[in-house]
Amino acid sequence: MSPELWFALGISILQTIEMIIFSTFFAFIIGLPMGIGLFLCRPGSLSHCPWLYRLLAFIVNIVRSIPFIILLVLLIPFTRLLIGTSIGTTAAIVPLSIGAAPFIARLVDNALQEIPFGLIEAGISMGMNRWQIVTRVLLPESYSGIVNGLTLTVVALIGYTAMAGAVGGGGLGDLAIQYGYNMFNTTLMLITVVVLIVMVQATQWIGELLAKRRV
Amino acid sequence: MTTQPIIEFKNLSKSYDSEQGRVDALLKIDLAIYPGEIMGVVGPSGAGKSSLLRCINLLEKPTAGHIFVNERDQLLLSAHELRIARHNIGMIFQQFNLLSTKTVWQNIALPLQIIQTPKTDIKARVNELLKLVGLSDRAQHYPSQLSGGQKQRVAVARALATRPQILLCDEATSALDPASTQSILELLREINQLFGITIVLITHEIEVVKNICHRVALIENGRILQIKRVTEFFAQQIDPLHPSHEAVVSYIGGHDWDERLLSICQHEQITGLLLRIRFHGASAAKPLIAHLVKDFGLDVNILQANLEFIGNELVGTMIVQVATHPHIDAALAFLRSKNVIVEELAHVP
Repeated sequence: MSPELWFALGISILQTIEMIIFSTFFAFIIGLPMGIGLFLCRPGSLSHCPWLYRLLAFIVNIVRSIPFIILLVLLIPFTRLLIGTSIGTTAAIVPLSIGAAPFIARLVDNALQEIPFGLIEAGISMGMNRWQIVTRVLLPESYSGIVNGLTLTVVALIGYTAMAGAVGGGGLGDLAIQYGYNMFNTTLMLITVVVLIVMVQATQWIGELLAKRRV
Repeated sequence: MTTQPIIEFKNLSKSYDSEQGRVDALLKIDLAIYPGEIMGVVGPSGAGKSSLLRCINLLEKPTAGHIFVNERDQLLLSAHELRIARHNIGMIFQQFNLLSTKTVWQNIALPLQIIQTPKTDIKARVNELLKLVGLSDRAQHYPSQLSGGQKQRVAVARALATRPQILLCDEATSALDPASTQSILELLREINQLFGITIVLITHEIEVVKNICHRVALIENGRILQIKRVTEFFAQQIDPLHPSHEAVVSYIGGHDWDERLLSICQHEQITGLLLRIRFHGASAAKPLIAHLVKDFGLDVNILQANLEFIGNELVGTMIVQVATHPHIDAALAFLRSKNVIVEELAHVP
């Protein structure tokens, strides 16, 4: 392991962390409203809007059924339109966010469905409007469910970032393939794996800690 | 009663489509509930009690007819007006429905927060309510740390936060043990007396009705079979030919009598009539049996007797055996004239 390689490893770790943080953030920003929308529009639920429900469910299912590596390639023109380039760590954040958002939408929807309907009834009987029911009943009551779902998403995203190398996104996966696999550097490959394990463990630990906290 | 009803159902129906076709959850309900009263709605499960209650604050929408609260047709309110109307109608539930992620204090403060009550007012009101329900020392606890009875007390406090005129109770004591049930009923009676709040409660526990209700509506298959003052409900003459008689009997009880009483009479070789006498109110306090003995010269043998307070009135049931006597018909007419319900159970030959 030469100093240059150690340096490259450090850079890759930072790139991976950058991709995870930003893509989780954007995926959450897109996925949370979608999940709430799925929950509210489901036939028989609070807003009862079957066509919107079907539309959302359709989008979610479409995106979730495309293998991430293919989504990555499919989204190249869109990424270029959005940020001007389709190569690099920043560019990789676009497909990562879009790939993870439907995942988060479903997780949020599932977490909301766990809430007993009686709590929603209590909210309505108090005279809450729909917004108040979402912000004062649904989100606080599903907090741990959503945090647990987010933990799952981040762990999955750590895996996805490894594929981001395919669009020159850099990160640990890229490093492991370029130097470890193509240049037969088993030590580097092992180190990357260890770093990824540590990242997943840390995510899980933080996630469980946050889920336990009362809000 | 000359006062205007606070809640009035007019020809209200609710039906929904199921796999078995159209189901009438409620059919042409007419019911007036007056300010300050405790109205009990009883009936078997699936009778429509829950729908009836939920039509008051429109948690369920009726399919026909009207529901008036304070003389305003709830169905004509805009979404915004309806939310304001709901601040005037508190509700408690069988499963308490407290927010698990909020403390007792925060749960009670919630209805006040959503109407933008100033913080200092919220603080004063929540502390006052905590005191009322006797949970001041539990303010910072979470619902999971409370017993069922305590959770329901928090729910009552939360329902009262916005000073509603009406409190709806959806099987509020059905998930509680007998002691907690008693304490919640005490609390409901107390707030009814203190604030004159109108309470509508649905229950399948007849003891709850006996305990606190002023009037009772019996409902079955979405129809109201009877609406009566509670003492009159429990002391009513049962007409075995009336179509609703089985439903009534299943709630007021005592229709079946132990036929072993008959064999006792036969064994003792006492002939005559086996009667059941029901009485309530003023007649309960009068020495009627003594009249039968002294004025009519009857031999009265009390086989079984039960006396209980329902509401604030005594309601009594007795099974007596009266020996054959020429004045027996006159005696029974006398009892009936005193508002006593007399049923002939059997003739002992």
